[in-house]
Amino acid sequence: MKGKLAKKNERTAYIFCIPWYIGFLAFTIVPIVYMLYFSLTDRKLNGLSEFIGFKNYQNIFSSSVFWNSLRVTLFYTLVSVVVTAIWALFLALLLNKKQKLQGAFQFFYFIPSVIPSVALAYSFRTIFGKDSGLLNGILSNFAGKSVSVNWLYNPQTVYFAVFAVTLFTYSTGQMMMIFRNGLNVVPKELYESAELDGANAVSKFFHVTLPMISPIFLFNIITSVIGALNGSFALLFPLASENGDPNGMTQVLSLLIYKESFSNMRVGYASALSFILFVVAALIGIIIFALSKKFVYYEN
Amino acid sequence: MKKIWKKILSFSLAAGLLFSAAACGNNDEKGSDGDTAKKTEEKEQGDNSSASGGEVNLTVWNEPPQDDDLNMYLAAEKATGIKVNVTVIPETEYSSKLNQMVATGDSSQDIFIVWENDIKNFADTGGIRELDSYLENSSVDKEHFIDAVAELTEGLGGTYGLPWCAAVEIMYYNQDLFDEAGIEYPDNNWPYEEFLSAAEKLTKKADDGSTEIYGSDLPNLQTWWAGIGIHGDQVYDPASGELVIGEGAEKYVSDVRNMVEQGYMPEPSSDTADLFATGKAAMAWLGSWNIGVYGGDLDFDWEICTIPTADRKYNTLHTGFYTINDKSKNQDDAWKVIEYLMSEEGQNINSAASGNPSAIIPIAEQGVWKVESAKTIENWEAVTDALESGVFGYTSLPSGITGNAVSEFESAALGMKTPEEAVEAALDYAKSQ
Amino acid sequence: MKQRKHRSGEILIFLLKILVAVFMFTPIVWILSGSFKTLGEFTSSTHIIPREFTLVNYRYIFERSNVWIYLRNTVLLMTLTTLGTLISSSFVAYPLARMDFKGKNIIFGIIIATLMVPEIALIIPKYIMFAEISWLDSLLPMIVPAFFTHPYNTFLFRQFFRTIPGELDEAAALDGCSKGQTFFLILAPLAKPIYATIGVLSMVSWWNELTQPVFYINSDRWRTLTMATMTTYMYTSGNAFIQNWPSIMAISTLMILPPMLLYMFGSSFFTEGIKTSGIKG
Repeated sequence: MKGKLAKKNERTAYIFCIPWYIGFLAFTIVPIVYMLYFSLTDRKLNGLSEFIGFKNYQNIFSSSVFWNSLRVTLFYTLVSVVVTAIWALFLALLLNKKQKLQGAFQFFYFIPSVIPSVALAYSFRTIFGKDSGLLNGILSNFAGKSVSVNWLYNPQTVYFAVFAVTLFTYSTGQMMMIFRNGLNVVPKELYESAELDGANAVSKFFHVTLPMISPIFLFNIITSVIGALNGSFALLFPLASENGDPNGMTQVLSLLIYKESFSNMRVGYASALSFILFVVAALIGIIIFALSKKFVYYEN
Repeated sequence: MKKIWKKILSFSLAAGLLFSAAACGNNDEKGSDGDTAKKTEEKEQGDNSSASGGEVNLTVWNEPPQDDDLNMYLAAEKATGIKVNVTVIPETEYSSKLNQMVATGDSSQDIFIVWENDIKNFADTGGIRELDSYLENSSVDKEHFIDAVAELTEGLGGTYGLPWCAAVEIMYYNQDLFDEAGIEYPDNNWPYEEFLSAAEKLTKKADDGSTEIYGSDLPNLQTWWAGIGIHGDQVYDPASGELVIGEGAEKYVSDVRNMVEQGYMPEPSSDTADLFATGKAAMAWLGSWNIGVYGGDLDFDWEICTIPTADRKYNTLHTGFYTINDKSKNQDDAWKVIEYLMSEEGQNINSAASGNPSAIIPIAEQGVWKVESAKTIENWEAVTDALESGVFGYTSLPSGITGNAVSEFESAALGMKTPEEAVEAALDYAKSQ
Repeated sequence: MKQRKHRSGEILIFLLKILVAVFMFTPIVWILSGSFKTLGEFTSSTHIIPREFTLVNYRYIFERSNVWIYLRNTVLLMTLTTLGTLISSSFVAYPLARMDFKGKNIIFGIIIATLMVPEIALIIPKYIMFAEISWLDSLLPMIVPAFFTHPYNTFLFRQFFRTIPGELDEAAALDGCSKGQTFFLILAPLAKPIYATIGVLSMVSWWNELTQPVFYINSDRWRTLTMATMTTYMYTSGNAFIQNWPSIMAISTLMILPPMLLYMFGSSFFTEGIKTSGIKG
């Protein structure tokens, strides 16, 4: 009798999962198979295609544009994750200091993250503009002479500018909220006992807060890595064009995929690039999980 | 208790319904979409038989003029009784999106205005239909097209497109600034060396060394190629279909780099602005259609001349071809609209609006392209002169290759690599395709 | 003495907070101010308050462009994808959170793994796939997959469902509810807040979505607002490569307003959902 009920329940469970089976098959497995297959062809945008074996991969691995793009992708992902995570934690710590106007501050800190990335990118193209940019205007006022730094086109400043923009993305706002919540759950007694041991604010942060929020940190890092890999296109395409100006310094793989498939119409080649991006994302995922076992503190 | 159950029941019903809708969402969506598509098809075909009152969708890359008198599509509507819906896809994505539409057999658009680099591909893959059968009984005479157009469409095995105009690249200059600097106005044979020295003299710097007025604006995506061409590089080899640049490109890129370094030209930057229009650049190399854009709107006297001459005269011709989508359901209506747009009246409205001459020689000779609102222009010969020296160059290459090359040139202009490295990288990338 | 030091520390922190708030809000102020400038002023000055206040950019948007079509497309995309993900993701999350069945851990493991696959890596093969069934240049490539679960939302639902006491299910079972009924009758109504939260987050993210429309949509009639920002509102008329910055700022202003208002009147939707996701998985 019980066995029958359990079986029935099991069947219900499978029924509830139907949307997932279909979705996983149709929108994950099939595209992966397609990706693998078309990466072995010279398919063009107009649909003509011919099997060419591993030629795309050969071309990719001998292309300096690709290696540059891979380097930029890893660099962009790593730095933007670190920079935004630290900034989000900083914002959360500020907000968690209970003072007047809590709600207003949270509004100002969070609201940039709901700006569409395309609007954000264009506003920063002009904020960081050379001749009529806001930042140069402000700096000129302070300096008392005209400052005209070409923020987004100068190799010395372009990364500073790009990572400054990532502070305003959705990923940052989301992390800030998660940190806020995480900070609230840290037991007060821990701080009190640390104070008894004579800890100052800095050592309290490093010895109590940070270990206690490390699982949340991990969660944030994971979502932010995905955010960086995924969101890089929506931010950098309007910011730096498909060529990753200047000089390919911001040409992450997603931009290269777009450029190869739509400007050069080489869909097969772009499929091979996609597969490489897929592998890169998987490797990053594995590394994070491996590292997390070592550094993250779990309560039980 | 009963109430709660009622509530719960209704919720579950609703949820269940939603789910069934969800599961079939796929079919439903497609079904309804297909239905509407069919309906419009029927409607269109119905319209077709009645000869007029039809509707035609046309794809182009620039916005129709806001002045209704200069809007050739409105004029075409009036003349043919066929409604013309214009879809604008910006220049930067135009070729790519059009290729996608053709590749996926899009039937929503009837007329594509196709670029030089795409027409062969579209004709070969059957994306656009040949127009010879229409041309037989038509007033459009392709014998009168300018030679360059005839050359370009040779080897297609038929007529697949009709040139909508023939635009050229010219130099615009601010006469007020030339007067101030005491420099003689350039003519249509202005030596490139004089351009360089004028750029230096026209530049005005503030006390702290920053530039207030640039001698010349930076070349844009298009005129980089004119600068390379005048130094003797072939740019595009029709025989091999490849990018051909070398010493000429190196020379021009290094000149630009030098001018940028000296502050005679602005750096490539993220907040691109039209420095010529705001009076902050004394010279600019731009397409002839800017005559129509500027019209009488500029606060200073301005004039045009041909692109300066170095080793030779060179500029890139620009056109687009009216073509009919092979998948279109309204091909006859589409032809009627094209026929009007190619007529004397249609061509003249386009010329008056844009400043681009017609590609049909007898119509171009009427000179309607001498935009009326541009009152300060006297040297209209610049355009006809440029037409003679113009060739279909970089526009015959895929935009990925040329866009990449310009990005390389700009890197060199910023001093991030040498001109030689930039040219080599541009060639390497083109070859890897 | 200590008190005073404490006090001045508080004030310093408060000042820092204000400084950061100004910094974070600057882009929005810049966008808003730019939307009321003329192109000439925008490209030649950096004043926050426009010298020559103009509505020409907004007039262009409402009088000269297909803004209502773009809005319709965005709203259609946003509501249908959200509806789809709410239904399908909560369905799948239910057995994962509250039932035991063979393969459960495998399914959950795969969902977590797919979480790590960036959308952009599969977009080209999906593009080819949708091209083959003629779905390109429509909203279908974005709407239909939403009806077949979204890994992150499934994960959020699962986390929430796990917080609801298991006794409820047992009581329902005693009342004669099947597992399926339990979901519709007990769980789903209890989970209203998480539906609202995920709904809001999903709507905001689809309102802002740029990548997928850029890949899948070609023509004007299915353009979304984000895409129109990069196309329709990008250049001045004519193909002159003249970027129409104030027009971009005006459409951006209009696009920022709805999520901003949503936050002002329902900030809890944003914070609650984020709390749920913060639960250790």
